[in-house]
Amino acid sequence: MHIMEGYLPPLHAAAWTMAAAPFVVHGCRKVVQTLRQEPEARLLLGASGAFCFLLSSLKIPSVAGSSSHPTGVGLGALLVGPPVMAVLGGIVLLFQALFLAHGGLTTLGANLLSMGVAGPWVAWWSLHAVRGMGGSRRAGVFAAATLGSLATYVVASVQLALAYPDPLHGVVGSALTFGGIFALTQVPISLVEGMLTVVAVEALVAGGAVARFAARLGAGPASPPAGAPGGLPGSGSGSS
Amino acid sequence: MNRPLALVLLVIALAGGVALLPGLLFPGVDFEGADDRASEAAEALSPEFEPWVNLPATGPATEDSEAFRFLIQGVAGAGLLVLCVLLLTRRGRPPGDPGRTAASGSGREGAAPSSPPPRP
Repeated sequence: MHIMEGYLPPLHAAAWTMAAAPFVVHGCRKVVQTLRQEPEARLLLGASGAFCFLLSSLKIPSVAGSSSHPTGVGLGALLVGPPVMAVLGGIVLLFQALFLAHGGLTTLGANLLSMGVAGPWVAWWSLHAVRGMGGSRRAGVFAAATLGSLATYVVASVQLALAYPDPLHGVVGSALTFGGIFALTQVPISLVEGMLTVVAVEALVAGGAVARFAARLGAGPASPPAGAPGGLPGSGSGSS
Repeated sequence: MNRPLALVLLVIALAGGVALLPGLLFPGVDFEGADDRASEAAEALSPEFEPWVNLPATGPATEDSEAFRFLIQGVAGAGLLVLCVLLLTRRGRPPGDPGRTAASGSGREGAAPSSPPPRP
């Protein structure tokens, strides 16, 4: 569930769009660069986009009697890198804005920043944090997908809070209000997304796909170089 | 059926189950979308505010058509995911492996080396 059409004041909508634009441009360049260097990576891109497409179509009832949906951006962030997810997430958001009336064109920038940028980067950092602490691949993937999904809605809550500050408690009070709606609803859904992402990664590892591509997409199998996102650490080590 | 495909089908089945189960457990209960609740909260915080634009005109007219469009999105995503995993499984095998041309078996025997050297 995203910020709905027209619910961000024009100035906020423009600001978030301008903030998201560089990430989309960078993501497009990464896609072109990746496909040029490794044409077969298009299948991983396709799988990442498809997973995002599938999971974001699920309207799942949650706590407090409300419903929301997983984002599916964690898998792509781990397989093809967070920058690319700005493009794939943008495609999903555009589809939903145009054909499902979920999100909107005026709020596309804000939604893209939360789902296509914040979520994937939090997922990527989470994976590397867990792996850095000696956690297994499965634990890392689970944490990455779960926290990435949750981060999407935390950012959306802050975006709404900035647009609608609480008259008494300001932006913080408003962020808590929106967080109680968005983020709280998302907690169990994010846990489900984490589990589904682990199974999806295991499927790709079982097929040899991740091991084959991870090293080529800019990250080593166990300890990727800092600042070079774009792979699944430990994908080839078999540690889990 | 090879293992990767089985796992992906499991993901799709679990995803569908998770989406459907609450509806089966609590029939007739309307689980309002979190975005609708957030919109209501925004209106409560700023009563004078109204959405300044309502685009696009291609959105679903009814709840049924909305559900149908979400279903189309989900089916398209699931189909593409299965296709990509099938192709990835086949290409993950080294040349000469019979499974490279016919993705069958456990999916493990033809897996690529665990740490392939990066292309120079």
